[in-house]
Amino acid sequence: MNAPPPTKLFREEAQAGAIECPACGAPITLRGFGGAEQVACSYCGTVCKPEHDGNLDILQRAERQRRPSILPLHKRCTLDDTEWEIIGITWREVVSMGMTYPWQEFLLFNPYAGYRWLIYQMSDGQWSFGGGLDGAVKVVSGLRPEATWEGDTYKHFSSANARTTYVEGEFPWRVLANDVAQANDYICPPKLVSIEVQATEHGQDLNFTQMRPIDASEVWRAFQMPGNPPPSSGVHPAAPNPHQTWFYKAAFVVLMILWLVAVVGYVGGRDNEVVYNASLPIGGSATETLEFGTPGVETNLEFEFVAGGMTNSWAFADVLLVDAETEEAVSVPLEVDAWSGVDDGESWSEGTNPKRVVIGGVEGGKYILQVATQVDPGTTFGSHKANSLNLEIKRDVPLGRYTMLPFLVILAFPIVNFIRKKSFESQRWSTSDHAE
Amino acid sequence: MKAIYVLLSIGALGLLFIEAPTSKWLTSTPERGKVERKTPRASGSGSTVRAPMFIFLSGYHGGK
Repeated sequence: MNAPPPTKLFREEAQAGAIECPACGAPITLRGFGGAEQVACSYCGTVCKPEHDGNLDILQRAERQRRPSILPLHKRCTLDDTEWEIIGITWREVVSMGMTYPWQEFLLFNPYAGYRWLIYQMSDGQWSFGGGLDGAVKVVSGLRPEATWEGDTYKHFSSANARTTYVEGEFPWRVLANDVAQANDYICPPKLVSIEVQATEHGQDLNFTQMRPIDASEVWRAFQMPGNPPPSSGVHPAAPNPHQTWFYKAAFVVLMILWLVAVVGYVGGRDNEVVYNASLPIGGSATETLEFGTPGVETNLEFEFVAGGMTNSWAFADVLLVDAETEEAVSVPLEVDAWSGVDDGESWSEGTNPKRVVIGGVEGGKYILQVATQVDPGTTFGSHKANSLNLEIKRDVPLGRYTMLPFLVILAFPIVNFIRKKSFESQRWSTSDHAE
Repeated sequence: MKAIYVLLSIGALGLLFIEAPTSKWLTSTPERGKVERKTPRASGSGSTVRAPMFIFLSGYHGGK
Protein backbone atom coordinates (compact mmCIF):
# COMPACT_ATOMS: atom_id res chain seq x y z
CA MET A 1 0.00 0.00 0.00
CA ASN A 2 1.38 3.32 -1.08
CA ALA A 3 1.62 6.11 1.53
CA PRO A 4 -0.08 9.42 0.59
CA PRO A 5 2.29 12.17 -0.53
CA PRO A 6 3.28 14.55 2.27
CA THR A 7 1.39 17.84 2.50
CA LYS A 8 3.41 20.62 0.94
CA LEU A 9 4.22 23.51 3.14
CA PHE A 10 4.64 25.80 0.13
CA ARG A 11 3.08 25.81 -3.25
CA GLU A 12 5.30 25.22 -6.22
CA GLU A 13 6.75 28.40 -7.58
CA ALA A 14 4.53 29.95 -10.19
CA GLN A 15 5.50 29.14 -13.71
CA ALA A 16 6.49 32.11 -15.82
CA GLY A 17 4.80 30.64 -18.83
CA ALA A 18 1.44 31.67 -20.22
CA ILE A 19 -1.51 30.65 -18.11
CA GLU A 20 -4.94 30.96 -19.56
CA CYS A 21 -8.02 32.20 -17.78
CA PRO A 22 -10.22 29.12 -17.38
CA ALA A 23 -13.30 31.28 -18.09
CA CYS A 24 -12.37 33.39 -21.10
CA GLY A 25 -9.02 32.00 -22.20
CA ALA A 26 -7.22 35.32 -21.86
CA PRO A 27 -3.54 35.14 -20.93
CA ILE A 28 -2.75 35.58 -17.24
CA THR A 29 0.74 36.22 -15.92
CA LEU A 30 1.52 35.58 -12.27
CA ARG A 31 4.09 37.99 -10.83
CA GLY A 32 3.64 37.38 -7.13
CA PHE A 33 5.59 34.13 -7.24
CA GLY A 34 4.20 31.58 -4.84
CA GLY A 35 2.39 34.10 -2.70
CA ALA A 36 -0.66 34.64 -4.90
CA GLU A 37 -3.78 33.46 -3.13
CA GLN A 38 -6.02 34.45 -6.00
CA VAL A 39 -5.85 36.06 -9.40
CA ALA A 40 -8.62 38.01 -11.12
CA CYS A 41 -8.59 37.94 -14.91
CA SER A 42 -8.07 41.43 -16.25
CA TYR A 43 -10.42 40.78 -19.15
CA CYS A 44 -13.46 39.02 -17.76
CA GLY A 45 -12.98 39.51 -14.03
CA THR A 46 -13.21 35.83 -13.19
CA VAL A 47 -11.41 35.20 -9.93
CA CYS A 48 -9.26 32.08 -9.81
CA LYS A 49 -7.15 30.35 -7.24
CA PRO A 50 -3.72 29.03 -8.28
CA GLU A 51 -3.52 25.36 -7.42
CA HIS A 52 -0.47 23.34 -6.40
CA ASP A 53 -0.24 21.83 -9.83
CA GLY A 54 -0.01 25.28 -11.45
CA ASN A 55 -3.56 25.30 -12.80
CA LEU A 56 -6.20 27.90 -11.96
CA ASP A 57 -9.37 27.00 -10.12
CA ILE A 58 -12.32 29.34 -10.58
CA LEU A 59 -13.46 31.01 -7.36
CA GLN A 60 -15.92 33.52 -8.79
CA ARG A 61 -16.99 33.56 -12.39
CA ALA A 62 -17.65 37.00 -13.82
CA GLU A 63 -18.34 38.64 -17.13
CA ARG A 64 -17.53 42.19 -16.33
CA GLN A 65 -15.91 44.79 -18.52
CA ARG A 66 -12.38 45.83 -17.84
CA ARG A 67 -12.15 49.19 -16.14
CA PRO A 68 -9.40 51.58 -17.14
CA SER A 69 -7.64 52.32 -13.87
CA ILE A 70 -5.53 55.43 -13.57
CA LEU A 71 -2.43 53.21 -13.50
CA PRO A 72 -2.28 50.01 -15.57
CA LEU A 73 -1.68 46.54 -14.18
CA HIS A 74 1.96 45.41 -14.21
CA LYS A 75 3.24 48.98 -14.51
CA ARG A 76 6.47 49.42 -12.59
CA CYS A 77 7.67 52.32 -10.51
CA THR A 78 10.41 53.31 -8.09
CA LEU A 79 9.18 54.59 -4.74
CA ASP A 80 11.20 54.79 -1.54
CA ASP A 81 14.24 53.63 -3.53
CA THR A 82 12.53 50.32 -4.31
CA GLU A 83 11.19 49.09 -7.61
CA TRP A 84 7.59 48.00 -7.41
CA GLU A 85 5.17 46.42 -9.81
CA ILE A 86 1.42 46.74 -9.74
CA ILE A 87 0.19 43.16 -9.45
CA GLY A 88 -3.36 43.84 -8.30
CA ILE A 89 -5.96 46.55 -8.58
CA THR A 90 -9.18 46.94 -6.65
CA TRP A 91 -11.80 49.63 -6.87
CA ARG A 92 -13.66 50.34 -3.70
CA GLU A 93 -16.17 52.90 -2.52
CA VAL A 94 -18.05 54.18 0.47
CA VAL A 95 -21.44 55.81 0.43
CA SER A 96 -22.01 58.63 2.87
CA MET A 97 -24.96 61.02 3.04
CA GLY A 98 -26.09 59.76 -0.37
CA MET A 99 -22.73 60.55 -1.95
CA THR A 100 -20.42 57.87 -3.32
CA TYR A 101 -16.69 58.26 -2.70
CA PRO A 102 -14.77 55.80 -4.90
CA TRP A 103 -11.06 55.07 -4.87
CA GLN A 104 -8.61 52.76 -6.61
CA GLU A 105 -6.14 50.62 -4.69
CA PHE A 106 -2.99 49.40 -6.38
CA LEU A 107 -1.17 46.47 -4.81
CA LEU A 108 2.55 46.93 -5.39
CA PHE A 109 4.95 44.03 -5.09
CA ASN A 110 8.67 43.59 -4.83
CA PRO A 111 9.98 40.08 -4.17
CA TYR A 112 12.45 41.37 -1.58
CA ALA A 113 10.41 44.17 0.02
CA GLY A 114 6.96 42.59 -0.04
CA TYR A 115 3.70 44.41 -0.62
CA ARG A 116 2.68 48.06 -0.52
CA TRP A 117 -0.51 49.92 -1.27
CA LEU A 118 -0.89 52.93 -3.49
CA ILE A 119 -4.33 54.49 -3.22
CA TYR A 120 -5.89 56.99 -5.58
CA GLN A 121 -8.94 58.84 -4.24
CA MET A 122 -11.10 59.40 -7.31
CA SER A 123 -13.29 62.06 -5.70
CA ASP A 124 -10.51 64.54 -4.95
CA GLY A 125 -7.40 63.21 -6.70
CA GLN A 126 -5.44 62.62 -3.48
CA TRP A 127 -2.87 59.82 -3.31
CA SER A 128 -1.68 57.67 -0.39
CA PHE A 129 1.20 55.21 -0.13
CA GLY A 130 1.90 52.70 2.59
CA GLY A 131 1.81 49.13 3.72
CA GLY A 132 0.61 46.72 6.32
CA LEU A 133 1.61 47.01 9.96
CA ASP A 134 3.49 44.19 11.65
CA GLY A 135 1.38 44.43 14.77
CA ALA A 136 -1.98 45.45 16.14
CA VAL A 137 -2.96 49.04 16.79
CA LYS A 138 -4.37 49.77 20.23
CA VAL A 139 -7.71 51.52 20.01
CA VAL A 140 -9.20 53.57 22.83
CA SER A 141 -12.91 53.96 22.17
CA GLY A 142 -14.93 56.96 23.24
CA LEU A 143 -16.65 59.98 21.79
CA ARG A 144 -13.49 60.72 19.82
CA PRO A 145 -11.74 57.34 19.58
CA GLU A 146 -7.98 57.25 19.43
CA ALA A 147 -5.48 54.68 18.27
CA THR A 148 -1.90 54.30 19.40
CA TRP A 149 0.92 52.76 17.43
CA GLU A 150 4.62 52.96 18.17
CA GLY A 151 4.13 55.80 20.65
CA ASP A 152 2.06 57.95 18.30
CA THR A 153 -1.55 58.79 19.05
CA TYR A 154 -3.87 58.78 16.08
CA LYS A 155 -7.19 60.64 16.14
CA HIS A 156 -10.23 58.97 14.70
CA PHE A 157 -11.05 60.42 11.30
CA SER A 158 -13.79 58.34 9.74
CA SER A 159 -15.50 54.98 9.78
CA ALA A 160 -17.45 53.62 6.86
CA ASN A 161 -18.35 50.43 5.08
CA ALA A 162 -16.10 50.07 2.08
CA ARG A 163 -17.43 47.90 -0.73
CA THR A 164 -15.17 46.37 -3.34
CA THR A 165 -16.56 47.02 -6.80
CA TYR A 166 -13.79 45.81 -9.06
CA VAL A 167 -10.89 43.37 -8.82
CA GLU A 168 -8.08 42.84 -11.29
CA GLY A 169 -4.78 40.98 -11.00
CA GLU A 170 -3.38 38.79 -8.28
CA PHE A 171 -3.56 39.06 -4.52
CA PRO A 172 -2.01 37.22 -1.62
CA TRP A 173 -5.44 37.08 0.03
CA ARG A 174 -9.03 36.60 -1.01
CA VAL A 175 -10.75 39.70 -2.33
CA LEU A 176 -13.92 39.53 -4.38
CA ALA A 177 -16.25 42.05 -5.89
CA ASN A 178 -18.97 43.10 -3.44
CA ASP A 179 -16.81 42.29 -0.42
CA VAL A 180 -17.64 44.76 2.34
CA ALA A 181 -15.26 45.76 5.11
CA GLN A 182 -15.61 48.35 7.81
CA ALA A 183 -12.77 50.81 7.27
CA ASN A 184 -11.74 52.93 10.27
CA ASP A 185 -9.22 55.64 9.57
CA TYR A 186 -7.13 57.32 12.26
CA ILE A 187 -4.73 60.15 11.56
CA CYS A 188 -1.54 61.48 13.06
CA PRO A 189 -0.30 63.67 10.20
CA PRO A 190 1.59 62.83 8.12
CA LYS A 191 0.57 59.27 8.98
CA LEU A 192 -2.74 57.51 8.67
CA VAL A 193 -3.65 54.15 10.14
CA SER A 194 -6.49 52.23 8.63
CA ILE A 195 -8.13 49.39 10.50
CA GLU A 196 -10.30 47.21 8.32
CA VAL A 197 -12.68 44.71 9.80
CA GLN A 198 -14.18 42.14 7.50
CA ALA A 199 -16.48 39.33 8.46
CA THR A 200 -15.34 35.96 7.18
CA GLU A 201 -16.63 32.45 7.50
CA HIS A 202 -14.16 31.91 10.33
CA GLY A 203 -14.88 35.10 12.23
CA GLN A 204 -13.46 38.55 11.68
CA ASP A 205 -10.48 39.46 9.58
CA LEU A 206 -8.53 42.47 10.88
CA ASN A 207 -6.09 44.40 8.72
CA PHE A 208 -3.89 47.24 9.90
CA THR A 209 -2.41 49.51 7.28
CA GLN A 210 -0.32 52.61 7.64
CA MET A 211 -0.44 55.17 4.86
CA ARG A 212 1.04 58.56 4.14
CA PRO A 213 0.07 61.21 1.61
CA ILE A 214 2.08 61.23 -1.57
CA ASP A 215 2.07 63.96 -4.15
CA ALA A 216 0.39 63.14 -7.46
CA SER A 217 3.36 64.49 -9.38
CA GLU A 218 5.66 62.15 -7.42
CA VAL A 219 3.47 59.19 -8.39
CA TRP A 220 3.47 60.33 -12.00
CA ARG A 221 7.23 60.66 -12.04
CA ALA A 222 7.71 57.32 -10.28
CA PHE A 223 5.63 55.53 -12.91
CA GLN A 224 7.00 57.64 -15.76
CA MET A 225 3.47 58.39 -16.83
CA PRO A 226 3.02 60.77 -19.75
CA GLY A 227 1.54 64.22 -19.23
CA ASN A 228 0.29 65.53 -15.92
CA PRO A 229 -1.64 63.72 -13.19
CA PRO A 230 -5.31 64.57 -12.70
CA PRO A 231 -5.70 67.68 -10.60
CA SER A 232 -6.31 67.21 -6.89
CA SER A 233 -8.48 69.25 -4.59
CA GLY A 234 -9.14 69.57 -0.90
CA VAL A 235 -6.86 68.32 1.84
CA HIS A 236 -5.58 64.78 2.32
CA PRO A 237 -6.71 63.48 5.74
CA ALA A 238 -3.09 62.98 6.79
CA ALA A 239 -1.56 65.94 5.01
CA PRO A 240 0.87 67.80 7.26
CA ASN A 241 -0.44 71.23 8.12
CA PRO A 242 1.90 73.62 6.27
CA HIS A 243 1.13 76.31 8.84
CA GLN A 244 2.06 74.13 11.81
CA THR A 245 5.31 75.70 12.90
CA TRP A 246 7.07 76.83 16.06
CA PHE A 247 8.74 79.64 14.18
CA TYR A 248 6.05 82.25 14.76
CA LYS A 249 5.74 81.45 18.46
CA ALA A 250 9.49 81.66 18.99
CA ALA A 251 9.90 84.73 16.80
CA PHE A 252 6.93 86.41 18.50
CA VAL A 253 8.47 85.96 21.95
CA VAL A 254 11.88 87.26 20.85
CA LEU A 255 10.41 90.21 18.95
CA MET A 256 8.08 91.12 21.82
CA ILE A 257 11.06 91.25 24.19
CA LEU A 258 12.87 93.50 21.72
CA TRP A 259 9.75 95.62 21.39
CA LEU A 260 9.38 96.04 25.15
CA VAL A 261 13.02 97.08 25.44
CA ALA A 262 12.58 99.52 22.57
CA VAL A 263 9.38 101.00 24.05
CA VAL A 264 10.94 101.47 27.49
CA GLY A 265 13.98 103.08 25.90
CA TYR A 266 11.91 105.28 23.63
CA VAL A 267 9.37 106.49 26.19
CA GLY A 268 11.99 106.87 28.91
CA GLY A 269 14.25 108.83 26.61
CA ARG A 270 11.70 111.51 25.73
CA ASP A 271 11.87 114.92 27.43
CA ASN A 272 8.13 115.59 27.02
CA GLU A 273 8.90 119.22 27.86
CA VAL A 274 6.26 121.96 27.86
CA VAL A 275 7.74 124.87 25.94
CA TYR A 276 4.64 127.05 25.84
CA ASN A 277 1.38 127.11 27.75
CA ALA A 278 -0.72 130.24 27.76
CA SER A 279 -4.18 131.67 27.28
CA LEU A 280 -4.73 133.30 23.92
CA PRO A 281 -6.58 136.52 23.19
CA ILE A 282 -9.97 135.85 21.65
CA GLY A 283 -9.99 137.20 18.13
CA GLY A 284 -6.52 138.65 18.47
CA SER A 285 -2.94 137.53 18.27
CA ALA A 286 -0.06 136.76 20.57
CA THR A 287 3.64 136.76 19.88
CA GLU A 288 6.37 135.26 21.99
CA THR A 289 9.93 134.14 21.64
CA LEU A 290 10.57 130.44 22.27
CA GLU A 291 13.81 128.59 22.63
CA PHE A 292 13.74 124.84 22.83
CA GLY A 293 15.79 121.74 22.12
CA THR A 294 19.30 121.56 20.84
CA PRO A 295 20.10 123.59 17.73
CA GLY A 296 20.44 121.31 14.72
CA VAL A 297 18.78 118.34 16.41
CA GLU A 298 15.33 117.53 15.11
CA THR A 299 12.49 116.78 17.45
CA ASN A 300 8.72 116.71 17.42
CA LEU A 301 6.25 119.30 18.70
CA GLU A 302 2.77 118.63 20.00
CA PHE A 303 0.25 121.47 19.80
CA GLU A 304 -2.90 121.31 21.92
CA PHE A 305 -5.52 123.98 21.32
CA VAL A 306 -8.57 124.08 23.60
CA ALA A 307 -11.53 126.43 23.71
CA GLY A 308 -13.74 126.86 26.76
CA GLY A 309 -17.43 127.73 27.08
CA MET A 310 -18.18 126.93 23.46
CA THR A 311 -21.55 125.63 22.25
CA ASN A 312 -22.49 125.18 18.60
CA SER A 313 -19.50 127.25 17.69
CA TRP A 314 -15.93 127.08 16.46
CA ALA A 315 -12.59 128.65 17.18
CA PHE A 316 -9.46 128.76 15.11
CA ALA A 317 -5.80 129.41 15.86
CA ASP A 318 -3.24 130.01 13.17
CA VAL A 319 0.07 129.10 14.78
CA LEU A 320 3.26 130.30 13.13
CA LEU A 321 6.69 129.23 14.32
CA VAL A 322 9.17 131.56 12.70
CA ASP A 323 12.87 130.76 12.75
CA ALA A 324 14.39 133.90 14.23
CA GLU A 325 17.42 133.73 11.94
CA THR A 326 16.08 132.62 8.58
CA GLU A 327 12.48 133.78 8.89
CA GLU A 328 11.46 130.38 7.58
CA ALA A 329 8.15 129.54 9.16
CA VAL A 330 6.11 126.51 10.03
CA SER A 331 2.36 127.02 9.87
CA VAL A 332 0.08 124.89 12.05
CA PRO A 333 -3.63 125.63 11.69
CA LEU A 334 -5.69 124.41 14.66
CA GLU A 335 -9.46 124.41 14.71
CA VAL A 336 -11.83 123.29 17.43
CA ASP A 337 -15.61 123.04 17.24
CA ALA A 338 -18.48 121.77 19.34
CA TRP A 339 -21.95 121.03 18.02
CA SER A 340 -24.95 119.57 19.77
CA GLY A 341 -28.71 119.41 19.47
CA VAL A 342 -31.80 117.25 19.67
CA ASP A 343 -33.22 115.42 16.66
CA ASP A 344 -36.43 113.41 17.00
CA GLY A 345 -36.05 113.42 20.77
CA GLU A 346 -32.48 112.12 20.56
CA SER A 347 -29.74 114.41 21.76
CA TRP A 348 -26.48 114.42 19.89
CA SER A 349 -23.14 116.10 20.07
CA GLU A 350 -20.05 116.16 17.91
CA GLY A 351 -16.93 118.16 17.31
CA THR A 352 -13.26 118.28 18.25
CA ASN A 353 -12.17 120.10 21.35
CA PRO A 354 -9.31 120.06 22.24
CA LYS A 355 -7.43 119.66 19.00
CA ARG A 356 -4.00 118.03 19.07
CA VAL A 357 -1.52 118.08 16.23
CA VAL A 358 1.98 116.65 16.27
CA ILE A 359 4.56 117.73 13.77
CA GLY A 360 7.95 116.15 13.39
CA GLY A 361 11.36 117.08 12.11
CA VAL A 362 11.52 120.51 13.81
CA GLU A 363 15.05 121.55 14.62
CA GLY A 364 15.73 122.89 18.08
CA GLY A 365 16.63 126.55 18.32
CA LYS A 366 15.16 130.00 18.77
CA TYR A 367 11.74 130.72 17.30
CA ILE A 368 9.17 133.47 17.29
CA LEU A 369 5.76 132.05 18.04
CA GLN A 370 2.84 133.94 16.59
CA VAL A 371 -0.70 132.83 17.19
CA ALA A 372 -3.66 134.56 15.59
CA THR A 373 -7.11 133.43 16.71
CA GLN A 374 -10.58 133.68 15.28
CA VAL A 375 -13.84 132.65 16.86
CA ASP A 376 -17.33 132.08 15.56
CA PRO A 377 -19.27 135.35 15.86
CA GLY A 378 -22.07 133.29 17.39
CA THR A 379 -25.02 134.58 15.42
CA THR A 380 -26.90 131.29 15.49
CA PHE A 381 -29.64 130.89 18.10
CA GLY A 382 -28.44 128.81 21.04
CA SER A 383 -24.78 129.11 20.20
CA HIS A 384 -22.15 130.42 22.55
CA LYS A 385 -18.80 131.48 21.30
CA ALA A 386 -15.64 130.46 23.11
CA ASN A 387 -14.87 132.50 26.19
CA SER A 388 -11.35 131.19 26.67
CA LEU A 389 -8.65 129.85 24.37
CA ASN A 390 -5.52 128.03 25.45
CA LEU A 391 -2.51 126.71 23.59
CA GLU A 392 0.06 124.28 24.93
CA ILE A 393 3.17 123.23 23.02
CA LYS A 394 5.32 120.30 24.08
CA ARG A 395 8.50 119.10 22.52
CA ASP A 396 9.97 115.61 22.29
CA VAL A 397 6.74 113.82 23.19
CA PRO A 398 6.45 110.00 23.01
CA LEU A 399 4.04 108.97 20.29
CA GLY A 400 1.87 105.88 20.61
CA ARG A 401 1.81 105.36 16.87
CA TYR A 402 5.54 104.60 16.86
CA THR A 403 5.18 102.06 19.66
CA MET A 404 2.01 100.47 18.27
CA LEU A 405 3.20 100.02 14.70
CA PRO A 406 5.89 97.40 15.52
CA PHE A 407 3.55 95.79 18.03
CA LEU A 408 0.88 95.33 15.36
CA VAL A 409 3.39 94.00 12.83
CA ILE A 410 4.85 91.57 15.39
CA LEU A 411 1.35 90.41 16.35
CA ALA A 412 -0.21 90.31 12.88
CA PHE A 413 1.85 87.54 11.30
CA PRO A 414 1.36 84.97 14.09
CA ILE A 415 -2.36 85.76 14.07
CA VAL A 416 -2.57 85.33 10.30
CA ASN A 417 -0.62 82.08 10.55
CA PHE A 418 -2.91 80.86 13.34
CA ILE A 419 -5.99 81.61 11.22
CA ARG A 420 -4.49 79.82 8.22
CA LYS A 421 -3.57 76.84 10.39
CA LYS A 422 -7.10 76.60 11.77
CA SER A 423 -8.57 77.03 8.30
CA PHE A 424 -6.42 74.16 7.02
CA GLU A 425 -7.56 71.93 9.89
CA SER A 426 -11.20 72.87 9.28
CA GLN A 427 -10.79 71.86 5.66
CA ARG A 428 -9.11 68.60 6.67
CA TRP A 429 -11.79 67.63 9.17
CA SER A 430 -14.68 68.74 6.94
CA THR A 431 -14.54 65.34 5.22
CA SER A 432 -14.35 63.38 8.47
CA ASP A 433 -16.96 62.02 10.85
CA HIS A 434 -16.10 64.94 13.14
CA ALA A 435 -16.77 67.87 10.85
CA GLU A 436 -17.68 71.02 12.74
CA MET B 1 6.40 84.66 4.66
CA LYS B 2 8.74 84.04 7.60
CA ALA B 3 11.46 86.22 6.10
CA ILE B 4 8.93 88.97 5.41
CA TYR B 5 7.74 88.74 9.01
CA VAL B 6 11.23 89.10 10.42
CA LEU B 7 12.15 91.90 8.01
CA LEU B 8 8.97 93.89 8.63
CA SER B 9 9.22 93.47 12.40
CA ILE B 10 12.84 94.55 12.49
CA GLY B 11 11.99 97.44 10.18
CA ALA B 12 9.19 98.58 12.47
CA LEU B 13 11.43 98.23 15.52
CA GLY B 14 14.11 100.19 13.66
CA LEU B 15 11.54 102.89 13.04
CA LEU B 16 10.87 103.01 16.79
CA PHE B 17 14.57 103.07 17.66
CA ILE B 18 15.78 105.51 15.04
CA GLU B 19 12.98 107.54 13.51
CA ALA B 20 10.57 107.99 16.41
CA PRO B 21 12.63 110.66 18.26
CA THR B 22 12.44 113.00 15.24
CA SER B 23 8.95 111.76 14.25
CA LYS B 24 9.26 112.81 10.65
CA TRP B 25 7.31 110.00 9.04
CA LEU B 26 4.25 109.30 11.16
CA THR B 27 3.26 112.88 11.96
CA SER B 28 1.44 115.69 10.20
CA THR B 29 3.51 117.50 7.67
CA PRO B 30 3.28 121.18 8.51
CA GLU B 31 3.28 123.79 5.83
CA ARG B 32 6.61 125.50 5.62
CA GLY B 33 7.34 128.79 3.92
CA LYS B 34 8.72 132.26 4.22
CA VAL B 35 7.08 135.02 6.24
CA GLU B 36 6.91 138.69 5.63
CA ARG B 37 7.45 141.01 8.53
CA LYS B 38 4.53 143.43 8.80
CA THR B 39 5.46 147.05 9.19
CA PRO B 40 4.09 148.21 12.56
CA ARG B 41 1.51 150.98 12.40
CA ALA B 42 2.26 154.21 14.11
CA SER B 43 0.36 154.24 17.36
CA GLY B 44 0.13 157.76 18.39
CA SER B 45 -2.45 156.99 21.02
CA GLY B 46 0.00 154.69 22.84
CA SER B 47 -2.45 151.75 22.96
CA THR B 48 -1.28 148.16 22.34
CA VAL B 49 -1.77 146.99 18.77
CA ARG B 50 -2.78 143.32 18.93
CA ALA B 51 -2.08 142.46 15.33
CA PRO B 52 0.11 139.76 13.78
CA MET B 53 3.74 140.70 13.24
CA PHE B 54 4.31 138.18 10.48
CA ILE B 55 2.30 137.26 7.44
CA PHE B 56 2.77 133.73 6.16
CA LEU B 57 3.34 133.89 2.46
CA SER B 58 1.65 130.62 1.63
CA GLY B 59 -0.77 128.18 3.06
CA TYR B 60 -4.10 127.93 4.80
CA HIS B 61 -5.04 130.72 7.13
CA GLY B 62 -8.18 129.32 8.63
CA GLY B 63 -11.58 130.79 9.08
CA LYS B 64 -14.99 129.51 8.18
